Amino acid sequence: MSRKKLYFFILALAFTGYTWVILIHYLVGAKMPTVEVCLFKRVTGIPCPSCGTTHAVLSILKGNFFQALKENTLGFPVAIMLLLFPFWIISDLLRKSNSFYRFYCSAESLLQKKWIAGSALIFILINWAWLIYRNRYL
Amino acid sequence: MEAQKVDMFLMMNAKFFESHQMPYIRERLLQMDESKFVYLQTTTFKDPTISLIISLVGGHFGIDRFMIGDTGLGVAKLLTCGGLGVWTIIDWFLIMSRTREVNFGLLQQVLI
Repeated sequence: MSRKKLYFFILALAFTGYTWVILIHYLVGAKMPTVEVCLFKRVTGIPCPSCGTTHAVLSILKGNFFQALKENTLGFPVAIMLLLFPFWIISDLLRKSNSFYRFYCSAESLLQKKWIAGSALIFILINWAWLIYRNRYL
Repeated sequence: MEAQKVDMFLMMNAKFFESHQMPYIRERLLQMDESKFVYLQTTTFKDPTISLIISLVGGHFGIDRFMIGDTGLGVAKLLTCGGLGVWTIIDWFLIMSRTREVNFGLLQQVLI
């Protein structure tokens, strides 16, 4: 993927992410039922590995880290990415540098290493098992 | 390389590449050194049909993107519930041509 394409894509993704988080924040504030868009959850009835991330991000922004852990651990990396990446890309575009692109490429090759990919997979599976357990019994 | 060998290779592997890339690939293979043929034959390309099936089944978790080597996008897709379900559906249509692109990249590595 070229640098321009990647920057545009990540910016669009971050913009959607921010819009989504703000929308859910207002829905929760107005005590309205939040929309459940996850296709997997609608079809099978069990949550997918990233269900609950929005609520976890909202909890992190309010400072309730324990609540975020309960909702979905993946909220932490997502919150960090949302806070960091768009500003990194904008500063890259302004300074005409490609530090984010280089970071992305090295992160991608790092994630393709067997032991890192394996441990990430195990972490996601454990997290998923916890989500299913929480959804059913808590 | 001999024209006969090149044509045989193209016939066997036509499904892995975009049709508009074929003339260029043929040209490059004809210019290629005979000694590289072994590398070419041992390179495994990814099947676009298989990636479409994986996209239909596990696209929601980004497994299709992980499989073809777009790990970063796979992580993004996994963390966002398949892009709120929208990206999953878009990828059903894009994944085959993306797989062919990746295959072309692999071939370029052998040719250089």
